Amino acid sequence: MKGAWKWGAPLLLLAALEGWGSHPAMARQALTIKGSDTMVILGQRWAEQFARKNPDIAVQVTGGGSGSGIAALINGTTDIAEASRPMTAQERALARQRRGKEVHEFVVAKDGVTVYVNEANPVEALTVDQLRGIFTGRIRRWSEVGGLDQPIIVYSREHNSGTYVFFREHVMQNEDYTPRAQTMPGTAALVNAVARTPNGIGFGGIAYAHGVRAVRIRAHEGAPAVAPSLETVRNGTYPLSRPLYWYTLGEPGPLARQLLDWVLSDEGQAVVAEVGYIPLR
Amino acid sequence: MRRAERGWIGLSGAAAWVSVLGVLAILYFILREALLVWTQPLPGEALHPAHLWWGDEPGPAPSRPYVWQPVALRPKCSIVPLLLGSTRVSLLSLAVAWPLGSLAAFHVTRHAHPAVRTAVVAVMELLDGVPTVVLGAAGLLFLATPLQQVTGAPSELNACLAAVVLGLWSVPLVFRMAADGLSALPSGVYRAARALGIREGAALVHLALPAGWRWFAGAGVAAFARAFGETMIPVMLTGNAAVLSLSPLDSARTLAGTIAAEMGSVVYGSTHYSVLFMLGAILLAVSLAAHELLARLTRPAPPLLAPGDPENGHEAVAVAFGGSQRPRRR
Repeated sequence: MKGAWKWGAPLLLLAALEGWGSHPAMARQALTIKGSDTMVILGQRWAEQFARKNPDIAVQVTGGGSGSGIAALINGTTDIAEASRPMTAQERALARQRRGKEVHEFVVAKDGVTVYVNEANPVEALTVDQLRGIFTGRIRRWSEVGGLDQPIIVYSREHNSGTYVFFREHVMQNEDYTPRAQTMPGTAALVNAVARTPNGIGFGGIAYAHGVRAVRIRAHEGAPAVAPSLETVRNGTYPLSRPLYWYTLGEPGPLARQLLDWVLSDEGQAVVAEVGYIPLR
Repeated sequence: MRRAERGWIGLSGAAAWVSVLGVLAILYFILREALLVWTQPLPGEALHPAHLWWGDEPGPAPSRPYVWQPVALRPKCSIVPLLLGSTRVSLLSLAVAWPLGSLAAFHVTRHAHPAVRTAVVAVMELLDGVPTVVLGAAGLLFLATPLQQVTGAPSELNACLAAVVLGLWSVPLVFRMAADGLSALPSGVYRAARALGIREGAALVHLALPAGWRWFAGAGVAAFARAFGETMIPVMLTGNAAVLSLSPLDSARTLAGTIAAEMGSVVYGSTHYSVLFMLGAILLAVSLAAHELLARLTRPAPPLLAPGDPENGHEAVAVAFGGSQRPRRR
């Protein structure tokens, strides 16, 4: 099982490439969802459960990153884009220009962006400022943040990751990532790399923290160190909480509407909790 | 009968033209998409050509030059770290593939039992047919951790790991071309040299290499070009950090890997999209240059001497060893 992600990594990459030039299925009862790698498991679980209740509707879910999903929406190759960050004004304008339709936004779940370190790492908590220093490359050794005298190995994501963009905006105040950051093709690949690298650090969705330790985050020096959990994300005390989105071009069509209504229902939101994210209610 | 023949000629001619036009169309589309940023820029997405080099607004001193961050708030598209990454990984892979392939070819053509030869050639062909994604996965599973323990690299994904796997992947190519190079030396000459008491290593350096150097060099060029354009192995094994470094133990981001990782998430016609096609044009240019060089290298040269003429063997050996009748070493 140890090697599973290694096969998963190229598969995720293929999934990212898969949308290139492909078109949504023309079948009447098919829906395509594409985007955030953070949300791909959630989307697939929703699709499975939904298909069980509605066997005549095929829902196809692929990852590739929020940027991939949004690009696919603008290029007209997906019905729904999943994103772990909001669409930018520029992307909305581009969609209007290309497709002649306004983008509609739906918050479908919540997540706490989690910072992972190796289980052997003695560092328990980090402030947002320290995180910014680590990911911009100003802080290069663990001893600078109370850890061992070892170099920090930074793992990041490809540019199409919504988590990458969220982290850049909310933690790094839009500074650039250090060029030394290794970019991993998916959250699962990143988590596995951190699990195997004693000096590694990386970030991702709350549901992926297996085999690694989630660092407690302080909003600023002297603030309480908060671990990501259902309660802390929902009540907003965890500093890196974020909504997870679905986007459609114009009003969702009847099929998409049916799926969306079910996702927002108690039944759909129960799936959110099962997968490890935070339901809206 | 006559008409059928003419039809056949017409059909095969059409096939030839379709292939040629197909290649030309690919060239045209790559260049057209690459230049889109200047021919039809999206609003607010102008790209100064110097950007492609510095990665930032051209000026006396860019704050941190040579950065590849095309999706940053202020996008930086310097191709320098990517060129360096591809070159570094490819040269390192050559350092693995070239000696391995050449020595294996030498051993197999000169020493191996015919049964062993057949087996080696068969295994080489098999290795050549393995998809690179499988090789990449095997590298991750079986090579990443041991190699890190040997090299002491800070992370188990680095240029060295990718180069080792790329090198193994290129061994069959080098092997084939080196075997051709070794066969450029007529066996009569080799036997004559050995009969004169010349050691095998000396015969290799002074006879086989001068006679077949074009193939050995060609093997290097071909393996370099193939590694330069390979996508899956670098994407899976380098760690993909666009660092400006010459160290084999650092991560690397390659041109082909960048296209694969980012093409899925660009908006058609954006600056980022065009820049990715420029990377593609660079890959194309490198492979065309390598192809031309290879064609020049392996163009059939006049034979060293008429084949099957053992009489001339002694003379050729003497010439190779400095013109006198006495070999330098006995």
